[in-house]
Amino acid sequence: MHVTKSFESLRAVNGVSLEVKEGSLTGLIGPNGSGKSTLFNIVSGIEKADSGKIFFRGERIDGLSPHKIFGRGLVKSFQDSRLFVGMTVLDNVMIPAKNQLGEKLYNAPVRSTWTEQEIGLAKKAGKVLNSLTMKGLFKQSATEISGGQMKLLDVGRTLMGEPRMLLLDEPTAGVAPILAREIFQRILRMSKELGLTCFIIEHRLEILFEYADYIYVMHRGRILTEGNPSEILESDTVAEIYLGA
Amino acid sequence: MWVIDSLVRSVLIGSLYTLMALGLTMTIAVVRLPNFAHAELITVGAYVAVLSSYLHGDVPLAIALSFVATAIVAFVCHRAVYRPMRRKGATMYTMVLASFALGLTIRYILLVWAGPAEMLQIKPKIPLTVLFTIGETPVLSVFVWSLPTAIVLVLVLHFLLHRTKTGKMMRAVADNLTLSLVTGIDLERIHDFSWIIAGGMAGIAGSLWAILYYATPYVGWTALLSVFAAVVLGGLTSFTGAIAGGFVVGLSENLLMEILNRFIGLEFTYKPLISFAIIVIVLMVRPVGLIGLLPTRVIRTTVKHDSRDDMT
Amino acid sequence: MTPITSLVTTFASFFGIYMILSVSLNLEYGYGGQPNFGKVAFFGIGAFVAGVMASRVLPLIAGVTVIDPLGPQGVEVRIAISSTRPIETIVTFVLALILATIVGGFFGYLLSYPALRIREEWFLAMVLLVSGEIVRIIVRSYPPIVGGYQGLAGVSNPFRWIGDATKASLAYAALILAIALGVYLLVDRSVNSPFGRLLKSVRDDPVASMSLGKNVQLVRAQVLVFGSGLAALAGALYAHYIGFITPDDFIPIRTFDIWVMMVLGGMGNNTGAVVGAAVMTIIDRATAMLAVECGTFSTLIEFNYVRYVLVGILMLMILMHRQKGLLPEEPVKTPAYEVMKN
Repeated sequence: MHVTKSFESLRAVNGVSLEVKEGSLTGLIGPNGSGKSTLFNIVSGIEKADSGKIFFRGERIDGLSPHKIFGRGLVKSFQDSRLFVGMTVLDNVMIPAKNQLGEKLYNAPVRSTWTEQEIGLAKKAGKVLNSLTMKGLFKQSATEISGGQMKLLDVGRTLMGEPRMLLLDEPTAGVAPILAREIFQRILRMSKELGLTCFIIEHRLEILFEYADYIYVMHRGRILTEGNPSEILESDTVAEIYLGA
Repeated sequence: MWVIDSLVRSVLIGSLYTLMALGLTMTIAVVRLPNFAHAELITVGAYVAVLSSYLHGDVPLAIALSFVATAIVAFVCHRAVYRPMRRKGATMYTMVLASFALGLTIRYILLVWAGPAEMLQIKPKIPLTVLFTIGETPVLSVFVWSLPTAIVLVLVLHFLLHRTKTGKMMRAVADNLTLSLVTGIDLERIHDFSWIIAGGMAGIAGSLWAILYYATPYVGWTALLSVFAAVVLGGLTSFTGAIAGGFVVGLSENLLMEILNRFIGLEFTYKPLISFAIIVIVLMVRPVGLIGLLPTRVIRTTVKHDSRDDMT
Repeated sequence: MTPITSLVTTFASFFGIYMILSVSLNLEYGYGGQPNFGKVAFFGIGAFVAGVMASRVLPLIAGVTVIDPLGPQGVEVRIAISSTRPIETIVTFVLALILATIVGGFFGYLLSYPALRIREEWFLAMVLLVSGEIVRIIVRSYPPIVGGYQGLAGVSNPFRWIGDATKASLAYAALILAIALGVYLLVDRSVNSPFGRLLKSVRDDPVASMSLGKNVQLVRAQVLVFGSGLAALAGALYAHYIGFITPDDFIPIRTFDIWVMMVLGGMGNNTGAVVGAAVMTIIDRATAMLAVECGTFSTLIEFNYVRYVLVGILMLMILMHRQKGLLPEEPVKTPAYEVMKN
């Protein structure tokens, strides 16, 4: 299973073609404005590409709406950890779970139709929160936790949706370096445990390069170069775009 | 011939709608508030004109007083309600609700004393004379006041927006708020100014309406649907669009309505449906309106898209 | 009927109807984030359906031919039937309630389409507002529905056949309250569930919600259908209470009233919606009674309108100083919380 993308789109992404191997931790780097987030948006269905094809696990997903892409197992987290501010930590974690019977309006008033499933999901949520050492915070409003915890929560809740692949858009943005490393390690641990493929946009190259299997470099909407971390480190072209940018 | 009659009325009403639409567009574009109370500003203008005409039958005076009165009311609303709410960080919805509340309050205040004072439907005391006739259609003296005033105002507004420093700043704020803040524009002053202009224009439109017809507490409200259609046609934030929109709506409501009435027998009570149909059609076919200025800001793209997604 | 009984039935009936409206708006906006500024349209639609049922279907079921359903003869026939034929009256009444809810829900579904094309929230609000007015204008101009601007009379209390006016009023008031309570419980159960979570997620951040696998458009449509159906139900109840349906009764200020109820009571809180409805009922009825008493002042001011001015100012006060309303929003209560405590 892997993701293949090849497409053209005028503004931010211009003729990108890449492939992410199953089970790998692949990084996407590049200076600001090179189109990385837009690329992720297109893959996850939030934006439409002008042309091109996206394959996920052998099936085309371009043109599908985001909620369907999520259903197929491709999940994206947000750069600014978009938690639902009107809800508690627990609610935020419970939301991504798929096929919740209680979400159907005709089931909702009749508790017996969904209580059992809900309890099962709650236990799972408890485990996720536990692994993030946030279990005690379950009743807190999502606005009452620290920035680092918000990030963790954002990434953590994606796991409730039984993803096969994660698109992580700067998971350590705006977080202190020690915490950043910790977040990364957690992500790695979780994904290894669950056999996830991770495709990560990251600016903290030192951390990314330590854990990534493969790197793509984007510049001005195109893939400049690709390779494993050591190759990228030695590449002159990559150094140039970072210095010049 | 009814065609001429209808055309004359279309142009007249169209020019009034244009004035109203311009004021509303300004509030939406510069202050970023869809002022539901805009209708009431028009009504206030209408009543001030009527009252003024009873004191002194001079038309320019009535119009001028309407401008001043409505500008003051708009300014007071801004300072007393909108600005404090903004400073407290009110959401867009809360502001919309507040404008709705303001509008209703003003309207019902008018209704409270209008009945007993026998001013529920009152014409201004202005002598009407027939100046000339086009074919068989008499052109009344009021026509001379409405259309030229409207034209002059539009030109003045254009001059204001394009040739004066304040006007340019207003346009800058409408185009790109963050950028204009960075360049150090005094937003408060711009807001103050916008309210005065938008309010004043609504007032003038109201006074002209009263001169043409009469004043009732519902003047603004009945016009609101048409004004909204004009603004939607114009693309919500475009001034030129509002002008075009105003006349299109004026034409639709008069000439088109006449045609529909004569050939299909559609009764005049259904007139508001025309404006509504315009809104629906624009929404379905070309949501950016006649002149689509800021499409990505106003209209949803195929998939929901937020400014938060516009990062690298 | 004694003044006390009259007072009680009036307050109870209005409270019940307002409660349904307030809870339905809270569902749409407090939980779902959909600003329904056209609520009165659905309220009206419910009433109009009830009117159509009473004028055409009631005689049909009772086997009485009516030449002129919307005119005076129709009124006589309706009143005669509801005074003497309990079964037919009740059956028609129940059918009217059901049909009103369905029709209201259907129109609510239609309204979810503008929501598709519009980005700015207030634009949707404006469209809903004018849609409300359009419905009123159409019904007003097209007599066959409820008699145009003249309206329809004789839509009577479904318990009229009891014979005793006091008992009939009390019975109906009790029924309205019972239905209102049922609605409250239904909505409360519906939102304290995964569906409620889903609603809030769509309300807070539709893009994030979609990215987490939720079909936002479907949810929005569902909420509008549910909320509109409930408003129409309230409308049908109202029609049978007032007895006289006229399109001009359904003006935008009524939508505003419902918003005041919800905002005052606290958005996102069902009990708050009920509290808001209670306060509004008191204001509404108290000023109506005062208006009658103060008839002597009507040479100076038109007292009926003072009530609206007061409500407007009240709303402004709330919005400016206590925007969250009286009661705070509560988290969705599902068994999940119990599980977590262990």
